[in-house]
Amino acid sequence: MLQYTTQEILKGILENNSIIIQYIYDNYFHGIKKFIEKFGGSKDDAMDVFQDGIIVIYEQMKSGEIKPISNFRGYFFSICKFKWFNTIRDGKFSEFTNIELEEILPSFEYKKISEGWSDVFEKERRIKVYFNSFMELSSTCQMMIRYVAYGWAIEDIAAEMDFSVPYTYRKRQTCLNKLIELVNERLNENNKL
Amino acid sequence: MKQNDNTMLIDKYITGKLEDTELWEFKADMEQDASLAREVKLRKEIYNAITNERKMDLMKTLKTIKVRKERRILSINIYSRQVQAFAASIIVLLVVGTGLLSNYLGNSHDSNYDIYNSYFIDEGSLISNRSDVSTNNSLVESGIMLYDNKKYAEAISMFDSNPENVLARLYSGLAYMKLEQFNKAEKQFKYIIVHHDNILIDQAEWNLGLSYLANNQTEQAQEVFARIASKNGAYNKQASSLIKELGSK
Repeated sequence: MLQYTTQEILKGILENNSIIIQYIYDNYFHGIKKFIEKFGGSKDDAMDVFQDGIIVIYEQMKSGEIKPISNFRGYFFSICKFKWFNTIRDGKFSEFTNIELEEILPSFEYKKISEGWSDVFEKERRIKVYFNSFMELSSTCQMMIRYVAYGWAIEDIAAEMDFSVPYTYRKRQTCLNKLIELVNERLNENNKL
Repeated sequence: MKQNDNTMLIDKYITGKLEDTELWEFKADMEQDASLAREVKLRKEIYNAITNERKMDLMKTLKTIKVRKERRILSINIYSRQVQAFAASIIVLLVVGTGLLSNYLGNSHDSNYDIYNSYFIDEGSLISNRSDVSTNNSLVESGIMLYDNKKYAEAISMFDSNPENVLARLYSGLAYMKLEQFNKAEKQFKYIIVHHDNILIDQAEWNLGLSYLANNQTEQAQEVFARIASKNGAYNKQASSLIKELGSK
């Protein structure tokens, strides 16, 4: 089976290389799932944590904040464990709320570098809500809101999409309302957890 | 209309399009109106998120992996020993339905179709800057509205009235895919590819490959995906990954 080095994997995440991401999934998801199930989570929870872990690494790579890593597996597992630790500590799983970070994240090295991960996870939680809500919109709404977000004038959007200006004006409002409604629904759901 | 005007102002503020006086007034409004300030903050975060193209692509890749894995689990269940044993006992007892069961137990069409399903993402397929696409406004608008409302057959009839419009062709192809009429979808995508003076070609080629795949025309699908993978287009990574998956079947 093809093996990738830590540097190749990190580069693959930064470049959104689907082969590398599939490789990470094939090789590491099972271990993450076992860990999460041990601490009360489900397979879906494991998938969410896996995705969040990848996104955190992507953000660290992009901002150049990532510290030298010799072992991708160890680093990735630490991020995922840390994320799950935060989830169970937030009270979703009462039987595990007394667990200390040291019990699940014994490596001193990773404890040290985990400073600041909580903030990143909180920021990413919101971004994920925006992304999932946006992806739920029709392709026309997605297109239109993206043009709006880039600062296009209504007349330009209308011309680009071959719509009339009044229709574009109305459609833009409908699409935005729908997006905000979905985002607020999801943020409220998350806050209840 | 007032709400619309307000949201226009928010958008102008976020994208730095407010003039001096308007900007000053808007800032003053935000200071006095906490809910307006909150809305501006939220909208700004959303816009920042969705204009981060690379990250959106990464999230799409992760979402696709999730969908594909879920579908694979379903396949495993179908192919599991218990299910096969159950199927065999039905054959013995009823001596009917052999053809139907073989379709479930051994036919490659199902796995091609599974792969198609895991890769086909309608949403966002049109999000790219397009070259000029001329059309009869009202008919294409109506067609897109019908498409958005999942009235695919009616949408197709609208698009059919604009046979030379590539955007209408693309939507029409997608609508046929939704209706699982892949032969008809293929025709629409081929038109766009032959027309080749616009950048809807990426989407057309990708969806042509997927239509071939869903239609169990594996060789044609592989040819299309190989062509996409060899170019530096929007779908080359997905095409490479799909070729690998087809090769490992």
